[in-house]
Amino acid sequence: MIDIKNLSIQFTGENLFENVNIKISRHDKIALVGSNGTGKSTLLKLIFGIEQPETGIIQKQKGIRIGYLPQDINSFKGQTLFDEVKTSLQDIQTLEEQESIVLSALNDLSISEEDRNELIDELGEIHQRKEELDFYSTNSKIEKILIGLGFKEKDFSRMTDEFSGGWQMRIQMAKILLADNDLILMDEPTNHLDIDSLEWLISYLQSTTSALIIVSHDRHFVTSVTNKTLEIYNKQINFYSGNYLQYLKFKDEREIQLISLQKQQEKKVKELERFIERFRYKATKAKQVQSRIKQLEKIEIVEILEEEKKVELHFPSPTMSGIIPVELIDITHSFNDIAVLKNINLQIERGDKIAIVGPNGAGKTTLTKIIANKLHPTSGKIIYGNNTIISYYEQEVADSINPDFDLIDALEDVNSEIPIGRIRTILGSFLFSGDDVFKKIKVLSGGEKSRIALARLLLTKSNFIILDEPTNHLDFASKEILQKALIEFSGTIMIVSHDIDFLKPIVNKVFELRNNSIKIFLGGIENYLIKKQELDRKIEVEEKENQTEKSRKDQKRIEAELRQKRYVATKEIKTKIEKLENEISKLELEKIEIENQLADPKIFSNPQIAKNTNSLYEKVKSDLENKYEIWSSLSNQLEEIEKQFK
Amino acid sequence: MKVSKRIKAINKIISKEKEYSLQEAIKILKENSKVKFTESLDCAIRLGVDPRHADQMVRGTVSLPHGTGKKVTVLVVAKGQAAQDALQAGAEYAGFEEYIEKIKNGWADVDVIIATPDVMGELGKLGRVLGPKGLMPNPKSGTVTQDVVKAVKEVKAGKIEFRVEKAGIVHASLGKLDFTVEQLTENAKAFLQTIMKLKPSSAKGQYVKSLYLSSTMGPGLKINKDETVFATKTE
Repeated sequence: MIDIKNLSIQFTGENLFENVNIKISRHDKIALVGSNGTGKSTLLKLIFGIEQPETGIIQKQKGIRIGYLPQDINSFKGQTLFDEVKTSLQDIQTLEEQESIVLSALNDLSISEEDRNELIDELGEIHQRKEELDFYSTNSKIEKILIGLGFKEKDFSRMTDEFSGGWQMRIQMAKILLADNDLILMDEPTNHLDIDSLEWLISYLQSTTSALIIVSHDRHFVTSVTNKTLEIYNKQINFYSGNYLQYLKFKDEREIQLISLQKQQEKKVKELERFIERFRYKATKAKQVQSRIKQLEKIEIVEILEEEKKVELHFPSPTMSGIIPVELIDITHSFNDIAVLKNINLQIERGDKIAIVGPNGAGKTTLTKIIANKLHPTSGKIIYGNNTIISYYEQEVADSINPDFDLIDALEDVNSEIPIGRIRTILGSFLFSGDDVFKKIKVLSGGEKSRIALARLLLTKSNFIILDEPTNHLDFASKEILQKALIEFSGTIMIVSHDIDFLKPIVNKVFELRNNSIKIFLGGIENYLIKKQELDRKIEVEEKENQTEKSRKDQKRIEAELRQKRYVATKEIKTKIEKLENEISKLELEKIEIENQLADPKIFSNPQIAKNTNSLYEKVKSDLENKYEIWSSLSNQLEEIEKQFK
Repeated sequence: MKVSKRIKAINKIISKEKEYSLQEAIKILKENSKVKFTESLDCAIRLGVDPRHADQMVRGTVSLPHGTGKKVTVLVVAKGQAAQDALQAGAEYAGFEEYIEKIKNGWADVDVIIATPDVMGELGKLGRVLGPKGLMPNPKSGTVTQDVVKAVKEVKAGKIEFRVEKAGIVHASLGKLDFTVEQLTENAKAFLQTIMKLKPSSAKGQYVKSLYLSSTMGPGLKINKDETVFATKTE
């Protein structure tokens, strides 16, 4: 699909890579790995075509569609979220435009028969294309992707301007996923994703048929999505089939191999040198010595790349601030009438190490910006304590530094009193050595920019550090170093981060932002997680109890209704039966009386009276018989009806 | 999943691996139709094309010699005399403004819509209703035409439309199982011939990858495609 031949590119006089040859085929899912600043992002830009190679060519298959998610995203403006995402489907948009043009032309009654037929053919073509492109399921597809990435349905009609940095990235991602690209390039896609969206993205990318090239420091993400690994190593790019974990294993093995190879070589070199030394001046051995010298020259020395260098980071010990460095009183802030923070009251104590957590868009960045005095709240008051010096590290690192500064300028900008020697030392400890310090900010990679921003943080001598997503662009090693430095720091810290592992050893208080208000949890992040789980469970239990309460009431109501119905249905029969029973008991009494009369000798001795009484007796008996029958059929009916209500 | 007795019985008779000839397969499907209605005979062909590329699209119409056995409800959208003619030719509904209004309100209770060119300006706007149901008339499938009488008769006589879906598979219904074996075979051959004729020149590799016949509730039988395709070619 893509064929890269003899590619070389350089930055500030140094080659990033030389004579690289790679082939990317359909359905390849590739993890692109390498240390900070080795050119991962540059390679993506070259493939996408934003940057041109100095030598070599990148051949792309005809008509190939590539989607690229860069690290720094320009904000989207001027459209609703739904329409913005839809713009990624160019084919469909042009079809819609064409269709409306053709339709309006068709409705012009003055056109000739011939033109009309032509237009109808064109319309037929458009309708056919629409079907082929699955036009009618587009909206549901857009909805699926947006919901998966964590947008709410009510967001669809909001203007894109209203979304924060993390959400802007998701808009871009939604556009790329939707566009049915043949190849998707993603540069650190996990930076702004919360866990739910991340899991969704993983399952989406696993099932997609597009080829992928992903740069990410999130090991879990990379391993679950990719099946091949491209490594930038020693200015070369190598291909490994196998996912990131398998690659790591391979890398360890290679290291061991190289070390043993190097040892062997050293031994050989030593032997040769000894031979040369010993026989150099002996005429008979001159020829042999010459050949050994040649051999020695020919040996290609095995180079083992130095371990990825690590940032050494120590915050200078700060001057002490007042006991309460910052106090917030009744802070409310809204964007375009949507309240993000409402009546926040907060006291931060000296030495607090605070983690700020909460779902995306809950106002974490807003709160930190207000505290850092970078944003004025809509209402409320901030009181800064005696001697509070705040320094702020923010999410969009690049925004805050002038892109034309070189690195020395970038640091001098913060504190001009510091001698250049000290600046170079600090830059050195951030892995910018030699000519690197004259690099312009605009040529730095995402990770390098983060390191510069952290270096600037060091110079401010602040006693209150606010970090907004500091771990986003850092690789594993740098993350660890930063963590260590923060643990040592004696001032006050406030960190916004989703990275639980990072926060764990640093934090002693957790502020949770949710539904415009703040909740404070004392104790570390683990404690917060446990408490939160308990709270969730409590809510669940309460809900359940409510439900059982409700169902009991429901049950009672249903039973009452049933009783009412049964009463109505059986009322008539019951009265009939009652009436009948009365009649029967009367007749039974009558019958007994007649029997007594018949037993009386006065009556049975008189034939006339006996005959009359006898016929009366017969009549009562047959009446009774009839009534019995009716009664039994009625009571059967009653039983039937009652059965229905059981 | 629970397998019904009926399917178990069928599974004993057929073999999943075997490649049947057309007649053989139709015969088996006919003999083993044990349901309470008349099943249809369905055909699925996997083609070696990528329909995402516009030049590899396979779609068209074919008139089945013995019809589909299904009753087709036809709406003709036309003005004046043409509407009258259409009704006489057997269309269930015909007219203009009345039906445009009805469709606007979501009505589309027909199997095919045929239209004359002069109404397409109006009808073309209703893509939101007709598009998802595949009812939009199109000159390519012969449903936009001056000669509505011919179009109605063709559709009623068993003209079917087909197109390859995303994964490269074409489906079509080729008649009812109460047709004779010969009738069904001829219908199948007519369909196959049309498919063969429509082979896009840009398609690479094998064109017909596999071919299956099935009945509505019956098993799917693999058809020996080489033999069948060869036979339809030589005819």
